[in-house]
Amino acid sequence: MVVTQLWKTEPLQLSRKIMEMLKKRSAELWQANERGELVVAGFSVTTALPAGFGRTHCLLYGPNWAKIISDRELAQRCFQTAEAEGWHQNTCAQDRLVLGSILLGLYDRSLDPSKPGRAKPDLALNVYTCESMVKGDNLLARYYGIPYYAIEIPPGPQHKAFFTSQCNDWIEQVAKATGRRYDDEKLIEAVYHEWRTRVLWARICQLQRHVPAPIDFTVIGSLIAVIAFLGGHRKDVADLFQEVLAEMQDRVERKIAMVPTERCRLMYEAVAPWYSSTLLRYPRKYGATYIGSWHMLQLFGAYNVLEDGSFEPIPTLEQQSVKIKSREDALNVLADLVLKHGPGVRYRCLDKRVSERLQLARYWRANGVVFCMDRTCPAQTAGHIEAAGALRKEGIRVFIHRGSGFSPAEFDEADYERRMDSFLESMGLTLTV
Amino acid sequence: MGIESGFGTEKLKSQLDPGVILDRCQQIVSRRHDYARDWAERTGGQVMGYFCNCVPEVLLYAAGILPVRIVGSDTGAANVSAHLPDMHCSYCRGCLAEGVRGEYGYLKGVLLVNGCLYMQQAYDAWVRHLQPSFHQFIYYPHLLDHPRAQAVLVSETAELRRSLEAWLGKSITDDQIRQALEVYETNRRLLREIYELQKRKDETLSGAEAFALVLASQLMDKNEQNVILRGLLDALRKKKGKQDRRVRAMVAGGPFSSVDLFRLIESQGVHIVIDDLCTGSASFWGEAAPAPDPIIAVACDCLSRPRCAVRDLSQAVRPQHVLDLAREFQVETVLLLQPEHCFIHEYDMPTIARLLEANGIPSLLLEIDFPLAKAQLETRISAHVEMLERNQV
Repeated sequence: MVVTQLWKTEPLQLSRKIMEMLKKRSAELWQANERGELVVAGFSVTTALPAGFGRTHCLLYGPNWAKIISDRELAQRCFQTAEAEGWHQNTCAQDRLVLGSILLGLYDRSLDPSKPGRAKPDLALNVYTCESMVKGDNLLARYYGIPYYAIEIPPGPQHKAFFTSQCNDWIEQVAKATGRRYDDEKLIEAVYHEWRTRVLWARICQLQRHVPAPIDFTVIGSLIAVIAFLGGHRKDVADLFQEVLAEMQDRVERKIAMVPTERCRLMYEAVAPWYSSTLLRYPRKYGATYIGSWHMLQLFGAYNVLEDGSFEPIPTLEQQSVKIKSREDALNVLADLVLKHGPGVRYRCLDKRVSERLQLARYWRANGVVFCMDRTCPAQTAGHIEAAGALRKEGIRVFIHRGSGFSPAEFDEADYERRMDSFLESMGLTLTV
Repeated sequence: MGIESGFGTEKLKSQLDPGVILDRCQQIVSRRHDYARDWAERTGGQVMGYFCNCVPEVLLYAAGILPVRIVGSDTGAANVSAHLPDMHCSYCRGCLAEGVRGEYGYLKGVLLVNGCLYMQQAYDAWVRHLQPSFHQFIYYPHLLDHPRAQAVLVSETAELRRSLEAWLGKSITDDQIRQALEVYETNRRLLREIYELQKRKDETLSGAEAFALVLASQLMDKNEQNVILRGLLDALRKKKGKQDRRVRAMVAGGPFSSVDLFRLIESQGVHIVIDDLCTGSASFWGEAAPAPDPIIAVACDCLSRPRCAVRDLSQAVRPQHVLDLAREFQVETVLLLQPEHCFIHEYDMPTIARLLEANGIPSLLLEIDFPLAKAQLETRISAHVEMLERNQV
């Protein structure tokens, strides 16, 4: 059966703004050292903490990340360099890519000879759930000779004091080590914005339950990039998400789809490939669209799951009339955000990884869930097999493939496409026109 | 607790032949489920399993429960593919596999301390599918050196005590805890003294035999084992072994519970004189600091142990500990045993290897999965030994 367009479609108007913000971030990074702004390497679940030191930059995978990851040969050189140093192929692919780029001198120096520059990190920080990241960023710090800090996220709000004391200690240690002044007002502002960003992210994901889905995983990936590279603590990021939400609400009202032939809705449980890949777009040939993932929702969102299985974003601080007056207040609020409503309460819990995925699949009206088994990322793959079993029992179709969001060598694209053809055809779908 | 008989330990007291004692300890390891069931029948007590060194098992012991470390077998873990994918740590899969096979049917409960994500998944799957009567996840921070970590350790340990008391329907007194601590500290001290004998340059004890003793301590009543260990220590001190011409080696790496692995390594001209495995020396190394409050003593016990890979996330002290042990025991080489798919240990191995090399100690990295790839391992180890011998000549 030939299926033509079912829905009206428009590109997301804010796509250009998202790209511009990411490009601007890159440009700003090259000047950060000169301006005396704090450059922080490492991944953190919350980015509000360093904000008290003034304008800070999340270096994350380095300013050349996009160039490296999109050039397969260059990326492969980075991987091979890290592996030659002894880092096993099972270790986190993003860590190996970063370590390899450091060893090759590509991490912090501009690759554009006409625009020389350097963005050297001042320190490395992990506010972490994932042990891999801590191990990897610790190595990064040692290679660079910069201080390394880890703040452990406990599994739940009962250990709030442990979390807040680590945060407070970090502030004192870095202030002493760098001679920088810590401004509690800036922390307070950052916490307000970070809370708002997380709530907005949850609301954005909530709108994906509408048919047709107003955005797809390609847009979700770019929004994730904004949170990861700029930081949810920034006002402009929170404002951007507010705008995205408004545009999505408009799209929902007008029934604007990202995929005009949408007739099948899939969840994609993994980090989407950062390298060039047809993975996310391929199912569109059959009118299938990737509408989101639990993994991405819980990593950056703030929500509760209600008894009826619906996903409810938590209210903002403003809506709750919460007033933050001091550093102590700010750290307590941050702890609530991360430990009660964020990954602290979900990351290590198999039951939640299974039950919330099932509930989300129902809530989002997903026809199927695609799991990527990434041998280099236990944070993602933990619970996948159990969740797949639970979904199948509920009659939700499941597709499992091997791959990696960071290492193209782990992903057999031809095999994925061939098997995806079978999967989608087995769901009664045919190629659309 | 004062179980001194059963499973042949009464006889062992009167037999000072270390060979017989060691052989029976190895039987306890290989027939650990029979031992545990026998113990439960003899004493009327209950048995609980735990997944990690840092679990405050002494609390269980104080409550009259036999704590046994959950370990895998050498037969592989194909039967857990519906719960843990084959790309997850082979050790964790092996532990769950034993549970799914029904081998641990006698366990009344399971406990886990915050460790790595793979172990967490194995524990969660165990609780979800095998539904033990008692289960508790204990949050001990990874970052143990933080000043506030001790408060967390104490509160979590106190919580465990309350949970056990509620489940048992009786209290666990401070005196019971103190007595249990004494048994445990004695056990640690005796094992340490046995390991000290490995500094000798003779064939007093093979690495496999020493490892079996340590494993047995995690699988049996420690009070029973203390009786055996005292007798064994006396006998071994008197024993004059032949001069050992084999290569003195250390093994370091992830958790392993296979004595056969040690035998395989030692069959290639190697004498394992020390290990840094969490199922090996890390289970007893160090000395617990006394504390007037026994709960504090229990909680802080894990602070006295060497940091395993997952509790050495940011400080990077473990490589130095490996080097220190290697020097202390005058090893000629270190075999780095990497559990297949264990991401935590994979991060440590290059750093450990480089530090050893910088200090003139060659190492060999071996990836281990079960069933063992015997021929491959034997080839690699024997080639390594040959190279070492050639370099010495």
